[in-house]
Amino acid sequence: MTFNSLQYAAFLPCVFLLYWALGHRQQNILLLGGSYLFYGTWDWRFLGLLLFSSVVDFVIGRQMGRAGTDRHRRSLLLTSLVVNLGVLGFFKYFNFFVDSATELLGAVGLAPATPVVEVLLPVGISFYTFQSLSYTIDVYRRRLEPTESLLDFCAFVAFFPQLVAGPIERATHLLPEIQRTRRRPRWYQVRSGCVLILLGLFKKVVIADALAPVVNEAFAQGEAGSGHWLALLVGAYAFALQIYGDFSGYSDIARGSSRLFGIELMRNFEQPYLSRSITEFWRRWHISLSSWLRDYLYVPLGGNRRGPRRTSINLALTMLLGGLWHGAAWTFVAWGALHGLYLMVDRWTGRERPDVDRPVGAGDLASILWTFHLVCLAWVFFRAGSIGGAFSYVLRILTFGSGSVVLGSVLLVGLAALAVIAVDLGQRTSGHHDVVLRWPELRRGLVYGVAVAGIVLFSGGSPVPFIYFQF
Amino acid sequence: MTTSVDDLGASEVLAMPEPRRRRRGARVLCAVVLVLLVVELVARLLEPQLSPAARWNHAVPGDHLENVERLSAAGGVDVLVVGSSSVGSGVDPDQLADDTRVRRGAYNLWMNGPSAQSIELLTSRFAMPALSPQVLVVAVSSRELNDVGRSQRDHVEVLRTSSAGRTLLTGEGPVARLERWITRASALVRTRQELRQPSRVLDVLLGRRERSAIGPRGMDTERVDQTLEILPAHVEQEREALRPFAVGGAELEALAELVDAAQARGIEVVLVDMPVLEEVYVPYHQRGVEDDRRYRAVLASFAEAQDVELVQARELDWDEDLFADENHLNGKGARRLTGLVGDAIDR
Repeated sequence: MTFNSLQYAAFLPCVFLLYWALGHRQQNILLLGGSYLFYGTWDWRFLGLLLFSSVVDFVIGRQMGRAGTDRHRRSLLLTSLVVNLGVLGFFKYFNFFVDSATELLGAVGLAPATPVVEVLLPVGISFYTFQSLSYTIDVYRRRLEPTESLLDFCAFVAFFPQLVAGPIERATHLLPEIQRTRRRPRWYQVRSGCVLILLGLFKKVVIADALAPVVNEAFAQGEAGSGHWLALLVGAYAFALQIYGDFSGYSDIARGSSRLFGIELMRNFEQPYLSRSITEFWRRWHISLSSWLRDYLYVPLGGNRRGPRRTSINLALTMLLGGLWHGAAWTFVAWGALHGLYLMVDRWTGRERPDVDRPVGAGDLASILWTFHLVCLAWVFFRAGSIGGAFSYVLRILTFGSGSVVLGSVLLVGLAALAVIAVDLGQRTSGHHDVVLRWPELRRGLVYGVAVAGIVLFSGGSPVPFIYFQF
Repeated sequence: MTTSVDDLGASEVLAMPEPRRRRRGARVLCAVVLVLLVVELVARLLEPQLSPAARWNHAVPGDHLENVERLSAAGGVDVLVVGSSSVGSGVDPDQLADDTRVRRGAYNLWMNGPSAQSIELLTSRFAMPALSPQVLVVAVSSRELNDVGRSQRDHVEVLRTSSAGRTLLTGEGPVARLERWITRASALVRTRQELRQPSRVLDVLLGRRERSAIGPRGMDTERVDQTLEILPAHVEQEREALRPFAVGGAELEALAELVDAAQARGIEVVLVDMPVLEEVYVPYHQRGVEDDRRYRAVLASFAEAQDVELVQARELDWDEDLFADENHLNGKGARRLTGLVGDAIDR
């Protein structure tokens, strides 16, 4: 069941109506049951894994609260890390490491017999593993009291609006939200939740899904070393817009759905393509992951406290692992490495502390465009099927390869870019994600009407899965 | 990072008296309805200019649909030939009509890269009722019967989810019924496949039409004069459609449904195993010759079980000069195959 399916359109109102007819404890039982049902529609076999992860971290958290010594607490944290990362590693990276090791040994003349294991990737495992880990780490750091309710903890790990693709919530924020008694939502909360869902669907269906064929065509050509350079450049822009529309659309629907239950989720995107540097980009793109990596990886590694050289190493390591988090492929590692390099250059050139609150002006256009193109270059590696394919793609653009350009595709990408710029500039200048709610009613109604018409126009057929579901 | 209540635009709303809030809500709703009505009106104005293929998500060439409509109005055809683009260039309906001396003639209704399920859907729900043939020639190759081919699955999905496909499919529960109702009621829904492509909208506004090589009786005339040429892009496309490969399952069931539907209408069915340039085409299969043998054995036993005539064209020798590429005959090859089909119909 995806957010852009008819099943979800029926599921959400049913859970919503039932939820507000129940008391607090029953609400959490419903949230847990609904979340497991939601997850089970993908593959019910992985429900056991979700429950296992939740129970392990719940028990470890409770034991940590009772542990008398720091050594005992450390060993419990280590157990949580080994179990969670072990499960993640097995399901996500087993074949990658076996294949890479086989290739490496093959290159030096050895041909080992390698195990062939067909490992299916459970949907959302990277997201809920990190979310669950944030709990044990924060309990270990004494930033959070361990919960005594298994029900609340399982509902926190499995909360369906953000279970399969985030935002990766911190236990310090979402767990208290799950635990507190929630008041019946006011009309403005329901209305604003619905507006976020509408906005998210618009980004997903009208921007991301509409651009998918253009992106597929461009990468099929570019990776094979063919295609006109302009078509490939437009294809790279199209992918930047597609992945943004897809992922931020998902986050908006997640936040909107969650708001209907009186639970606020964190913002995951803050107009990232209006960033003036890569450092600023990472404060605005997939905020829940970048802040997770900062707090639970970069800072424990020493952050920027141990001199410039160590800071660079920490940055590179964090971004490499951030790349690998997305998937078991060298293309993701290359994407992370490029961003690590960009961030290091930002530090060397003194742009490591961007003023993210400063309004965007015409004078920022050059730095915004430069940053966008750096991001697009990294996206080519992220999207390509292989490192070689990504290099072919980039080389084809740089050497002005010839071929044909489909005017319709260029037009479509241009229209999608205009839509993204309009939404993001509106949000940035107003400072609100749901800026449309502040507009006069006629203007608001016209915007809703255009959004609904756009969704109808670009939908139909089987719903296209969200890109980040594969991670 | 969390959103404050003020972020929800609450303060202004809460400060408002209740009747005013309701009035504002009604105005918003009116504006939404107004926009949707305008969009629907535009779609209705553009609909007559759009290609009929849009209703089928362009899985069926538009010229076929116009031809079928024209022939249907003129009383239909006696022989209907269905299959993939190989059939489009491989069977000449004019020659077939001459050979078999049928009064209403023949029509060749082919699609690019279909599966047996696509052929079944288009033929039994659309073409057979519209053209009322006496003979149905179903010409297939291993590609159409591959039960695990990705492109075949995509093709039938495209047909099923097209507005025309939705309208024809029946008995699929309340959601499908609702979708059909919406499709019938809204021009925006019917034409959205076309309207979402700016270049197509531009073509409509500028009165441009795509070039077509489909004759009035459906034959693909583009390959008539071609000599053999193996193109890498086409090779890749065919290999993808044959890997992985498994014959049987839903595709074979669809073929059986098509034969049953035709026989139930009293239509005689002729099955044709389409010729291919074997030394080139057979290795495209996942397991090469083994897959091809399996396909031919399954097709032969299927024809026997269904009690239909099977033209095993591949048992003859097909030289390179009869092909435009590895699985499309040229004009010379088409003359030979059409003769074989005509003989089978006469029998």
